[in-house]
Amino acid sequence: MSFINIPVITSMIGQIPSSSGSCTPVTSSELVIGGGTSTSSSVWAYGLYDYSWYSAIWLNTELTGGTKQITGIEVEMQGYTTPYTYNNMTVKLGHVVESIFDTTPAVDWSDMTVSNVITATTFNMTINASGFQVITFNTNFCYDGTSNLIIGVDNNDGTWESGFGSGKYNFTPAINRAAYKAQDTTFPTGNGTRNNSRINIKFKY
Amino acid sequence: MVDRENLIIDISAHGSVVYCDENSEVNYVVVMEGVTSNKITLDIIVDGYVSADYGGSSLSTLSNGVYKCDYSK
Repeated sequence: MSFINIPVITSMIGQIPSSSGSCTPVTSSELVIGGGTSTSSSVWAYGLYDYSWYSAIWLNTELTGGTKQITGIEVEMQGYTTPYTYNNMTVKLGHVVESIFDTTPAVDWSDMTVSNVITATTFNMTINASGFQVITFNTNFCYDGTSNLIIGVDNNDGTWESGFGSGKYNFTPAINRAAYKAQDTTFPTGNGTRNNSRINIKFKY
Repeated sequence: MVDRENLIIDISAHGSVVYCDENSEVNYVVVMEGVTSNKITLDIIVDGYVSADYGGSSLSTLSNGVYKCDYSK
């Protein structure tokens, strides 16, 4: 007697894969960090250049409430000639030991102690109005409730376009907790520039 | 208000002007290709026209003959 090995198929409709099999359930909550009114063209993505990279760190003391399955974020941007689209943008997240960037932050985070890194989504970001821009993840991030969190965004558009605006940020509590690099022709490598321009953000979990 | 016409005339002697205008409500952008001068020379020229109206932060780069500057209010 022979058996045919038929795989058991479990419906995945409506489920979003997470970065870990044992993640806190989604609670439809949000955590807002920021609220500043400063602006900079280089924050989140820099439309003046073909390619750009931006990263920021949030402390465990700011990410209150313990573990979270982060399903998306919203970032605050303003001043764009709408609609304005960044094509081929990638968002990644990870736990990080450091609380600030060093003086020469590496584009690839190779100078930091980062773990559990996931690529949350690759998408085209169209800004239709000033305000918080919704970014829903394809892969959720399981925040452990104790580590600092690093988020990076790669703007792989490949062309610059006028009409770009700015990201809004809160200068004071984010000293050296943001970094960026932008250039034409090829995606930036090497080291970027650190600053205090950590974007206003909403974590959805 | 930025004297755009004379700014373009002045910087055209140093390369091809791709963009020279208000980029949004809050910033002014200049982009040039085939630049034959150095960054400081262009920074001084642009600054003379733009900084009075856009006195916030400014950033400029010159790489592979492409000059870009971004002035914010």
